[in-house]
Amino acid sequence: MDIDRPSDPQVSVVSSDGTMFHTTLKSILLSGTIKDMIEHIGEGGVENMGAIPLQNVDSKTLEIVIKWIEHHKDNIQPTSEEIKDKTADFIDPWDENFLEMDLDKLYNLITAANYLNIPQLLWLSTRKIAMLIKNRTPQEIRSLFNIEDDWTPQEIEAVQKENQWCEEK
Amino acid sequence: MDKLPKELWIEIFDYLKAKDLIALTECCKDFYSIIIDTKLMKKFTLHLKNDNFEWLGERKYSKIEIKECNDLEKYINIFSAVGLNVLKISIINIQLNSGYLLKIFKCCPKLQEFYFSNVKIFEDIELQSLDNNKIIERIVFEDSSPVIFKLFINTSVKEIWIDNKCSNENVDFIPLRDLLKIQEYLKELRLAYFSINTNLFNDNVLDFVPFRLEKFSMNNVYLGIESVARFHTFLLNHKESLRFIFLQSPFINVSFFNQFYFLEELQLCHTNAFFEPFENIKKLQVENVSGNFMDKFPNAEELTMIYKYGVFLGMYGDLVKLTKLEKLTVIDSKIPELKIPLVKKLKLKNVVICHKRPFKYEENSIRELYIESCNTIDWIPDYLA
Repeated sequence: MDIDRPSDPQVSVVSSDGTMFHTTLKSILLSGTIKDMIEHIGEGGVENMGAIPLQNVDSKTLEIVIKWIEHHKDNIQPTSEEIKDKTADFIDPWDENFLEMDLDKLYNLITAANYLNIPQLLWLSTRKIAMLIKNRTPQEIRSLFNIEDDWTPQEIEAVQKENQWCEEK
Repeated sequence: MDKLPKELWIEIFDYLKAKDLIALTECCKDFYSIIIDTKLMKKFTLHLKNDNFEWLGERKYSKIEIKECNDLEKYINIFSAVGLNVLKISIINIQLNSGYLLKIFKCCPKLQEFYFSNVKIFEDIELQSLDNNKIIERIVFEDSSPVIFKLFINTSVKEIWIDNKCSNENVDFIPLRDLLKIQEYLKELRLAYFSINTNLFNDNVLDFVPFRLEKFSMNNVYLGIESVARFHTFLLNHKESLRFIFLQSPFINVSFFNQFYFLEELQLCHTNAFFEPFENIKKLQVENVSGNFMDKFPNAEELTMIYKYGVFLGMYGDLVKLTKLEKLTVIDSKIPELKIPLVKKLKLKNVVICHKRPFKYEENSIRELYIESCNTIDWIPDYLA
C-alpha cells in the first residue's frame, strides 16, 4: 500500500467505551500498532476498512492522543532508537503546553502511547513525569504520587546508610 | 504504584540521575525494589573511601570507585560480594601494590571500563595480562604508573585515553608497541600532555596494522621535529576509517589537513585556517582560530566557537555564509557585530555583546535558546523571553 499518497483519507477509530473518532490516515499511521495493522490489510483496503476498535484506550484518552497525532502528522517521527539516544534537552513549546494535565490523565496517556506504539509521545509523557520527580525529597515524591511510606524506621535507616555510599560528591 | 506497569515506571525513572533515584528508593518499598532490581542500578556508583561501609547485600552495583584509601584490605570482602556485576572501576589517588590490584580484578570478571587517576603501583607480583578474550570498552589513564598497561597486553581495547598533565613520570615507555591485540580493536585513541619525542612515531610504533582508528585526539603532545613526518604517515594510514581528529599541538602544519577532506567532524585549536575547504564537515569546534574560516566549512550544521582571549578575530558577518547551520554555541567571546544565519538552536555562555541587535531572526526561527553569564539580554525576541 502506498502510504505516501497525497490525499489523506479518513479513518475511524472506536474507543473502549464505544465512542467513534474520525481522523486521517496520515495521523493514525504515527501509531506503530495501527500502521502494522493497516499494512496487513493491503492494497486499497483503507477505503473499505471499517472503524478500528481500540479496546485498551478510553474515549477521554483517545481524544488526547488524536489531538497529538493530528498536530504532528507532518513531522518526521524519530525511531525509538533515536529517542533513546536523545538527552532530552529540547521540547517543542506546543508539546510542553499539551502535556499540562493531571497525573491520572498522564498515566492513561502513557499507557495508550505504549499500547499504540507512538515512541515520541511515550517519550514526552514519561519524561514529563520524570521531570516532576527531579530534585524532590522522598517526602515530596510521596505527596506527589499520593503514596504511603511503608518503611519501618529500622528499614529506612539501613537503606539511607547504604545510599550514603552511592551519592555523588 | 499500580497506576502503571513496572516496565513503564522503569522508562520514567530512566530519565533520572542517581541523586533522584536515591530519593525514590527512600520513598516506598515498591519504588525501592523497581530501582535496585533493574537496569536502573547501572546509574549507581559505589564510592569506597576511608570509612566503614556496611553492605546490605541486596544491590548489584555495576560501578565502583575507590578513592584515597589507606586500608584497602578491608574492602576485599565487598569486592568479592559485589564484584560479579561490576562493569566499571575507578581508582583515584591511591598507592597500592600489584598483588592487591590483581585481587580486585579477580573479583570483577566482567569489567569493561577502567579509570586510573594518580595511581601508583608497587609491583610486588609481576602484573599479568587480564583474560585474553576480554573486550574492554575504555581505559582512561591519568598520571599513573605505566606498568598498569601490562594488564591489557592480551585484551581487546576499543578506546585508550592517556592524559599525563600532572605527572613527571616518563610515559614514553608505555609499551604500545607490545599491545598487538589492542591494536586490532582500537577505535579511539586520545593522547594529552606528554612528549612523544622519538619512540611513539619514529619506531613505527603507531604504524601498526590492522587497527582502524576512528577517532584520534592529541592535546599538548610534544612532537619532536623529526617525528612530524612519521606522524603524518600514521594519520594517513588511518585515512579510511578516521572520522574525527582533534589536534592541539605546536609543530603541526595545518595545511596537511587537506588530505583529510573526508572528515565529518573536526576540532581546531590555536591555529590559522590556511587549508582548503572541507566540504564534508558537519560538526565543527574552533578555539581561538583566527582568520576567515567560515568559507572552509560550507556544509557545517553544528558550530561551537570558543575565544578565551576576547574578540572574534576576523569575524564580521561571515557566519551568514554557513547556510546550513542549525546549532550554534559561542563561549567566552566578545561579539562586536554578528550576523547569524537562521539557526534553530543557539547557546551563549560568557559572551559580551556590543551591538544592540546582533542577531537576525524571524518569528519562531530559534527553537531553543540557552544563555548563561552574558552582559545583556535586551535583544532577546519577545516570543522567546
